[in-house]
Amino acid sequence: MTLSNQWLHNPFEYDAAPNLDPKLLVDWFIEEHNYSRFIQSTRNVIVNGQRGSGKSMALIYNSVPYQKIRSELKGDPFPSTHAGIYVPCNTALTHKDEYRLLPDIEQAILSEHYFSYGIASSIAKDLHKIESSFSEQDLAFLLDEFSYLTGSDLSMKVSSPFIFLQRAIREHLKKDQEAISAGVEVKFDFETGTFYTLILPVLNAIKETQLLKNVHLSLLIDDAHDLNMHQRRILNSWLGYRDHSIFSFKVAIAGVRNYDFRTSSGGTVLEGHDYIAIDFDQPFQNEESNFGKFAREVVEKRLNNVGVDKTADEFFPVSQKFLQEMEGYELKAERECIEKGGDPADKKAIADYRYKYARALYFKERNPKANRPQYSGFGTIAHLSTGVIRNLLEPCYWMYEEMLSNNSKITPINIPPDIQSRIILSRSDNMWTFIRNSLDKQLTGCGQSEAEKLRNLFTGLAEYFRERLLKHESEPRVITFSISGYDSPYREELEPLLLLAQKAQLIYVRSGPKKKGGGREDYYVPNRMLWPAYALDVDGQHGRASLKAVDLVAATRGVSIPVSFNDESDVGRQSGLFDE
Amino acid sequence: MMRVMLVGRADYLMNKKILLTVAGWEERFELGMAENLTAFRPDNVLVLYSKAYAHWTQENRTKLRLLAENEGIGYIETEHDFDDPVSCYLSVLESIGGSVRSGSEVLFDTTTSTRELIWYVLHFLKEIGSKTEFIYYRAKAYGDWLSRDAQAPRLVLKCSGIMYPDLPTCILALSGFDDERLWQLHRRYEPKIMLVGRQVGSQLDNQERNVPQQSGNFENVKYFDFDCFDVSEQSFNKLVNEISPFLDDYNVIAASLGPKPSAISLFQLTRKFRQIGLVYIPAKEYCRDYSSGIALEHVSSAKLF
Repeated sequence: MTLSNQWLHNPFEYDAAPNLDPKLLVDWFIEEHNYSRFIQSTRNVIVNGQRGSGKSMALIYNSVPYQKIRSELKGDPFPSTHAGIYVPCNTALTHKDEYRLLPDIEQAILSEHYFSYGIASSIAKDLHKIESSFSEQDLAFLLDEFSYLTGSDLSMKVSSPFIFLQRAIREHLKKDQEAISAGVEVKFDFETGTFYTLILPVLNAIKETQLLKNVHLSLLIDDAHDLNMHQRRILNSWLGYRDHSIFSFKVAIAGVRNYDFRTSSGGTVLEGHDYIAIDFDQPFQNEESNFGKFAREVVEKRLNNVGVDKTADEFFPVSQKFLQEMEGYELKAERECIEKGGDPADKKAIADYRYKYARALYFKERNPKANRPQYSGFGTIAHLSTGVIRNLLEPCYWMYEEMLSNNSKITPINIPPDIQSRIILSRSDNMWTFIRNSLDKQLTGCGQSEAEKLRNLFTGLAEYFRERLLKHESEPRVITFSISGYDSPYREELEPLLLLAQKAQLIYVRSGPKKKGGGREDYYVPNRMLWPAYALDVDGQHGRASLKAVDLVAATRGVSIPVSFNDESDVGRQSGLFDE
Repeated sequence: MMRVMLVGRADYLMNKKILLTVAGWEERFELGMAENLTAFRPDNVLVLYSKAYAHWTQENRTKLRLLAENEGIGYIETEHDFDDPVSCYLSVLESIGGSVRSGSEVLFDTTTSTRELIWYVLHFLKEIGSKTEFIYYRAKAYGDWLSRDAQAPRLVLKCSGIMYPDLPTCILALSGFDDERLWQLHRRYEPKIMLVGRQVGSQLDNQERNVPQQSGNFENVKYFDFDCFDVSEQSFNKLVNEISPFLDDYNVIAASLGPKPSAISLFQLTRKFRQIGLVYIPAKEYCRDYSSGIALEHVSSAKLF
């Protein structure tokens, strides 16, 4: 049943990318079926993705220290044709607010100063990690340049230009912050750094070196939503810098829909013109690059790294009992199709009917007194992820932990279906406990009243989908929805709640073809981990329910969402998780 | 525009004994201030109060004003928008700057102050050069909750430390009865390490209420026992010992989430180590019946500077 193995760390570790061991990150990263190639382009790129979607990992993977590790571990060329500098924005420096005590113009100056120094510091930090690849002449040249640019004295006696740059920045930042904190008023008269006086000259100097003279530099700005308003606008202005012969920006944002793309001068940067946008929330646009393949590769690569040579489906097998029962329901669906007048010779029609109804029959004909369905199999786990890679890894992590807690000395070669199901149901219950008890305590900006409305709304949605599963004639397994009549005053009531739900990762918003009249519309995908607690099928049916805004507003007050038994959802337009 | 009420001799406060406080609606505010007037014998009382909760504190402020008048003590109260840190900082600065001078003797009653305001006030008093003592009164009994609907954590103006972009974050939290606030800090600042000072002792069912913290819900967290009510040098040195190993390699952000005197300890810590920043988690909703009575046998107090 098991392989003997000394390496018993959990391969489904899902800590934030900056906290992962660099070698593990390089091992685990999947270059295919995601947008990594865009990060290696010479254009400005905006990367959208919720927490856990893998955007930080993609940026870090493309940063120059990791490129070096890749060359050592995997023989990748180094230097590559591009070199990334990872610039995290969720730093304590970014969160300082003293600038707000200054007049507007000075607020912007101080904000740019901190941001520029942050970028310069990141350049120094990343390049220091590949310092041994530079020639002596390169290092001497950079030391001289950095000394000139920072105005710092070489008497610091540092031979590494990158340590020199880091120290010079720290010296400046220390003095500047001390000056800002001193006294009771805020004033500053120190020299400030800007993109054009600090970053651009530093990048130009780097491009003068033998090592990187033919390399495109990418500034990988992570979590730009954490920047203050001035810094975001300054960054937007930089995106308008058209000369990409030396560098470009790759900017990761959680929630691009609400991001302000205005520049410091009041203009706006435009997609296609100033940047291209990629969306990590929808990494499964078609069969060639879908989330299903990506998820499978992530899992199999991690298993392979701990010596388990199994496919994801073999490691997370589906319950035999479920398979047997499903066989019965598939036959039942086929019979039903023919009884309703279907042509037995029309194999496609019968297969379509079976696909549409067999699972629904299984879920709805279960004895109400029976235990909840057994949720197992890699496909189920992938569906539960709702297309977010951290959501995929999280249940896998806890399943693996349970196996290790039973026997910590042997590497598991699969996760039995009963353990998968137990963990899935427990994670689902936990999510509802969070909705019931903790929204107003853990979710910033969510008061008691909002928490109660969200509780009601999600309970209403769960009951709606349950009712629909039991009674709907044509589309019983739909578990996503769009909103009709989403205008004032309902929008004002619903929108803030749906934003909070997105922040809590209880719901994801995607864009798809409109049901009527062409064009596109937003649709809403509740986190599928919510549904096992309600015995719903997480392998949702193609299609989405069209719910009225007025009914959703009523649901926030505890009123049931009405279910009609035969309304037409958007069948065939919205494809499934693995087909989008 | 700041609302100001001046009574009696309050218009010439400088270099006098000043009792400074932040108005609360709890019973212990009224009882504590009566104690302060008797024991400290101030020349003037300066009361800062929240605009949003002015109606809740009105009764206590009126009682205090009448008490001060009867004692021939000057009384001044000023209104502030606690929800807007910039406006609040500036208006509190104006109030204190207009009342306190270098050498003034100030007793700062922190009992019903927000922690952010404690830090603003202490920063101002320190910069002005007043001789400052603080006092904190515990209540006889507490309700289940004091505040909820927590807003985004924010670094405290002028007390935000020295931060470097290339260092990871360490959070030092002197913790309260739940770890939801810890989760908020964790989510906001994504620290590499958390040091959590857990309140010692059995008061207020402390040990039962601290259980969630002991369950170890966070990675890279180190718990240590700490008495947030204790503002002694020994207690302070304990904090110094806990945080010292992290000062060179981390940006340190400190949060007072437990009993309020811990805000004083953390302020002192930032004066010793200027690189440490203070963080505050504002709340939108407060409980009017949070506490009752005053426990005069449990008073935290110390000369600060």
